[in-house]
Amino acid sequence: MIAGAGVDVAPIARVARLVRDHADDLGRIFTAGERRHCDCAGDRARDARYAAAFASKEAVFKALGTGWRSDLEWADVDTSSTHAHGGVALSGGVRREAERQGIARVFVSASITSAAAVATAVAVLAAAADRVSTPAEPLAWSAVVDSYAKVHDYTALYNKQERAIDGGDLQRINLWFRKPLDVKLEWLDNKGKPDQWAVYRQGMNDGKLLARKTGFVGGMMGDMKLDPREKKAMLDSRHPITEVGIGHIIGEVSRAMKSQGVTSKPAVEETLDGARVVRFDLDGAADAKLFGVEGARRVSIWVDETLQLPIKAEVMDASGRMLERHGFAKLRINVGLTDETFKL
Amino acid sequence: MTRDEIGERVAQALVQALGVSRGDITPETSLAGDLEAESIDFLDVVFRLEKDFGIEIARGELFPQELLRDPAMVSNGQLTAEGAKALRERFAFTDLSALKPGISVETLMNDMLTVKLIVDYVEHKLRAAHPA
Repeated sequence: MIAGAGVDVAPIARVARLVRDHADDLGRIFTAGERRHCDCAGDRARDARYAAAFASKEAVFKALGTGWRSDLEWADVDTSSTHAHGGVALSGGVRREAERQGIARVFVSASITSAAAVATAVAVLAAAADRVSTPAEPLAWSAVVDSYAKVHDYTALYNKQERAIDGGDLQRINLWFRKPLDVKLEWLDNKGKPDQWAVYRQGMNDGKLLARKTGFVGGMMGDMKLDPREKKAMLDSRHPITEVGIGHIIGEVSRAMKSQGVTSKPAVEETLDGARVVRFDLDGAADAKLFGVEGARRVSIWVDETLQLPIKAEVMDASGRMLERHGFAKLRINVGLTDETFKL
Repeated sequence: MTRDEIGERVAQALVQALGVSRGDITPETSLAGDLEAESIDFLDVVFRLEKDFGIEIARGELFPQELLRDPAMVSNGQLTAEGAKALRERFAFTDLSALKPGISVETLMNDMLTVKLIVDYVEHKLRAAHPA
């Protein structure tokens, strides 16, 4: 049964002006997936796609009967994450409002002319939505947890950005990890040459990490033994070495999913750097402190469909700005790392 | 910052966001009713005000929709006495003494958001952020 319908027309030029004038705030209107979809197109198509996304969101608000002047967040309607027949992904307050009304799904269709985008939305009550065949979740999070349980060790090229560290400059790090918690990190300079190392082995070296740097200063300082949480050990990260790796990310997501004040969106399939992945999105309340990061309101995790393990995690603030990004390229599991690996 | 300075900067934000002329803007001007602002325009205005004044504008602060969804506040599309009282409390930073029960929600949403209300709101936010 249909609970409500909405239609909206968005002039492309007007939306383009908003996008141009408020690039820093776009995360408050459009999800990361929507922005990727729009930004990968040429100028004209890009503007039209943003207009279509905007019109779709407003049509959804109208179908829910809330109107845009509500306290609901625009980014809680994700038009890039569609289920069968054009059902859009709802999260946060929009999802709660839909559930409050007994609405199981909202379907959207959009079209573009040379001047405007038009979108219609239909909200469907739970009983009717159940009769519309939709695919099951592409991947359950429990499958990711199970996959990691079978991992003994892994290597990866760890690409890390933290806004609080040098404004989010990219750090490229070779990573070796062996359970339960042996870690070796090898930072690469701009030319791909190693210039810094850190090793941590749980239960070894008096609980300290071993660190070494190249260059004159590194030579002067020699090898260092540092507490993982002391200032000198955390110059390149807000997280200690004991929290590095995909296992920590899986643990944080699992914890967050059980937390009050955190909403999980339906997982969606997409492509990331040519690989088929499943994206999990979490929205947190202002005090949720997702991933232990101050101001974090959204976390997206991309799970490789074949490995069923995370290969990227992104933490964003309420404005959709990146706070942290952790990527694990060239991930190889169960390679048989030995004690030799975890020496400086 | 003086109230006049706040008023001028609010007016400039409206000129830039809505493409209207400065002469169209008076304290009594309503954004939706007079300037025909639409959803996208309001987003534009909010983003500009946040940047210009260094403040954060939570959606519910200017658009009390969740309050107007409460059946105790709105009955048959009209504001109840309890609703009028709650709105006056929510918008304590401005003068809503003229707000009477019985007004239609549609009219309320169109007419309530005036330039004066925005100036009052910004002044209140700045004062809260930088108490004298």
